[in-house]
Amino acid sequence: MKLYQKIILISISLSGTLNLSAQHDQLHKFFDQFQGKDGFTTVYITPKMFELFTDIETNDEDFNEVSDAISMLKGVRILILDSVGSLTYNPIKLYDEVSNAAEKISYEELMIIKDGDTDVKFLIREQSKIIEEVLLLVGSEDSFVFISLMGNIDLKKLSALSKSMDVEGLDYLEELETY
Amino acid sequence: MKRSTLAIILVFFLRFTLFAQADISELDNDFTEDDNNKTHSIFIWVPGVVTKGASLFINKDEEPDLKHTLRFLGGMRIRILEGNSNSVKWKRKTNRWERKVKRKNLDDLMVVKNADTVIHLKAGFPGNGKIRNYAFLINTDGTAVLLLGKSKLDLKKLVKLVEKFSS
Repeated sequence: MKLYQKIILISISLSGTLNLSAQHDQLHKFFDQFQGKDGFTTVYITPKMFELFTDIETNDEDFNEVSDAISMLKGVRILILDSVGSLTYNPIKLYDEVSNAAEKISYEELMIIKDGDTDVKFLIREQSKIIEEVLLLVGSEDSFVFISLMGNIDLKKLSALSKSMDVEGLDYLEELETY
Repeated sequence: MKRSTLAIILVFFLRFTLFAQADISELDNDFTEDDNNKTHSIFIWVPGVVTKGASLFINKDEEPDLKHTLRFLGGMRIRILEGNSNSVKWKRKTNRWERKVKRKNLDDLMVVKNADTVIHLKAGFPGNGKIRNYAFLINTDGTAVLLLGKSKLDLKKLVKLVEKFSS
């Protein structure tokens, strides 16, 4: 292969990677877009917080199970819209908007749950058969929850998180045990 | 004649706008001055010896993790600000707090934001499984709190304690 062909190949593959990363950032911009706005609450748990749990060893089985789940995470972002008293944003519309945006990029649907008037959707992003991100979307008439879990994720271990974190919508992670 | 009429109109108009500006700045001064007076700050210093002293009353066999936590919790400085979060004094103080926390080079552990509340939890880890410094910054509509502390807390024992209290 000639040098200029190699250069073209490398630049094409590089631009593809950059393009994908820009698209993922586009989805994460939802968090920045609604941060601090009336009716919205955003939570960002940094990678440092998860690093702390990796060194801790105890004899408690429950704690070790949760610790295993936490140690594979590199960051969690949570966006919650509680529309009681706020008519500016429609939770169902936001659910559809984020869901469509995610599917257009490289996120794949993993599971859809209809729980009464609440829609729940799990989406994943894989890279070389390793799940790098799990999105959890919960939409109903009066609330919208968007959770992004980043890291090298094992879905079987992930359900343990719902036991340790008391966050609206995260209890749906237990459904992954059946997956 | 035309020039003199134009000059009179201009002078009149300029005087009018200057008066309007003076009125607005006066109102602004009154507003911020009043708000500044209503904004109060409280400073609480808890020396390390107090928490260490409290640990002496805890039985090591019954509550080993609580005893360790109190012994190594160290001193803490708590600053509370109450009043109008739009006042000049408020903004000056909270900006100063943010700069103070930034200078300590602590790692962000968690950030929570909504329309009127911002919470930052930060800590410094020297890498030996212990928490060296920590900062807790809350800025809400009407109350702001800055908690700064120095410690030698063992993270494992702290997690055990949290686990015990949460179960």
